[in-house]
Amino acid sequence: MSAIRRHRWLQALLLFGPAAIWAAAFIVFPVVEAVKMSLSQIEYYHLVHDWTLKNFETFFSNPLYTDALVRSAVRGLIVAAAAVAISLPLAHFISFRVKRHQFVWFAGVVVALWLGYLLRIVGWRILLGNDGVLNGLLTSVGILSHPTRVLVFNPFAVILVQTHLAMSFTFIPIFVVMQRVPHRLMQAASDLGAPRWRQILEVELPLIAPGVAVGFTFAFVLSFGDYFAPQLVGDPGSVGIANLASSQFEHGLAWPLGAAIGVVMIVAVLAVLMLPAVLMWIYRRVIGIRSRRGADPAQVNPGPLVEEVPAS
Amino acid sequence: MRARLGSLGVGVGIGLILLFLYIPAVIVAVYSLNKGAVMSWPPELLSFHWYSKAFANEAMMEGLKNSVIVALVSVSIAVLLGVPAGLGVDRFQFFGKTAFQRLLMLPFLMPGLISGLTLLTVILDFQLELSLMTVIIAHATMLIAIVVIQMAVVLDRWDRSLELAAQDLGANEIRTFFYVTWPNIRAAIVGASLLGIAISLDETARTAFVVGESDTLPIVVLSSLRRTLTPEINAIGTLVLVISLVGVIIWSKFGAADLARE
Repeated sequence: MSAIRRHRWLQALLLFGPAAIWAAAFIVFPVVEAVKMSLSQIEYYHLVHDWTLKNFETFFSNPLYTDALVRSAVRGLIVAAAAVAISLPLAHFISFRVKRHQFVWFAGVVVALWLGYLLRIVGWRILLGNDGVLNGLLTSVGILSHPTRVLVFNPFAVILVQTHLAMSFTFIPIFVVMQRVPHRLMQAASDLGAPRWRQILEVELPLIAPGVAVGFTFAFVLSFGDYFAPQLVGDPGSVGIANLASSQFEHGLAWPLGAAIGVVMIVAVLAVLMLPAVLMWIYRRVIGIRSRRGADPAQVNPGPLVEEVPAS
Repeated sequence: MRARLGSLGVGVGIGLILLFLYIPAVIVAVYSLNKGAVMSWPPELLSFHWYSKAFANEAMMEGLKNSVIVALVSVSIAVLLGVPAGLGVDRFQFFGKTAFQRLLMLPFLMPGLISGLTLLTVILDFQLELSLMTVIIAHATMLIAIVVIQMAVVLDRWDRSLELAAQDLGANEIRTFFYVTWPNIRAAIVGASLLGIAISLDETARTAFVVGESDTLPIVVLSSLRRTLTPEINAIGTLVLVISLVGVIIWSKFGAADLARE
């Protein structure tokens, strides 16, 4: 015991050691193995590590794969934009318009998103299915004479379902940063004659930008890596990069190609995850230049503007 | 008049958003109580037929059992590894600390497919056996991230001088941990565990890669979905939803009590 107390590095080792070993074995090593496999080939039903770039050549020379990569990236952007666009007004409404029981409203949103991943896909499929709820509803009301088959198994259904799936990753970060926006700043802008759209655009938006950026990237990554929605509510034309990665391991012996697709996805996702940090850095640089020219609001602090307007 | 029209517009907009959010949950719950197998409009309520069918479905019950085992074991591993690591990150400064923290969080930030795929390449290369064990490894790796994030949040808010005070008053490290540190992090650990159990019970993307002969519940649901929709899925899904919600509500009561006592 006393040895542990005397040597701080021993304490650190005891605290970090297990997690570090686990991370090395099950996070770092698998990535190394995937890279190694992506540079291998299958010959006569055996994996041969011969450091070849063949799998990447196959990937980048075949439009089947590159199209799927582009499709997944574009769909990811659409889904992330849609999920952010829905989360913003909802979070704003609960944060600034709801006067009482804000927590109940927040919980009400979270409960809707608590349903399991596959179950949410099931819910949409029952709604949109060929003999599903919406078809039944529309025919019984008389808007449709026959059930239509265009509602489900199309690229739009994939976007709809993924947007719903992504809502948990956009709403919560955006709501959290919005809770920290001081109401008195909005009040001050309003007192100084700013119309509501200017209050939102020039006061609220810069303050919530980090949460929006995090939500957007999470939503993008979710859509980019999701291989269930395209499979379960999409058509053959909505196959994404993630579907191609997983199917290489399902049928036949195409593991090296599957690993290569996985490596491409890792690079893409890491680039996207680092994007908010890069954007924030650029943003700070630009703001830094502007505030040096004009008055730095942090330096011209006139003290408390008005008494804090009660948030609730 | 314009203001009233404006707030009417806001109300309608928010109503539509909430409708969008609630559609899947309401549909799944309502059609779990449907009489027939065809899930169309209008639903024929009210029957618990599909619940009894789900309970009689051996594959589903086996899947549920496996899922519960996986959730409990992987959450335990995540807490045992993640809590010390979280404490360590809070109190030691060393080169590469941020990188280490980010590394632990990576499996949660990356798509589940990446984690599953990379783990599977190891299993294939070393010709290991796929089993519940590989599923547990995949889940625990992801859940450590949640524990570490929760620990960072709670330790960030907490005044470390309390520990120093205890030690000044003559408590050793062990007494300090159990009398000062533990009561402060307990609620966060329980919270992270419950969240971890909920996430593990629902995990599909990783699991589909590394699952062996014994399927977890989401994998049973997935393979049934690839064939056809059956209301049994709605019944079991609604049940899991209600149970995990009840768990969270109970925790938030206890968590609130824990915070109030501070």
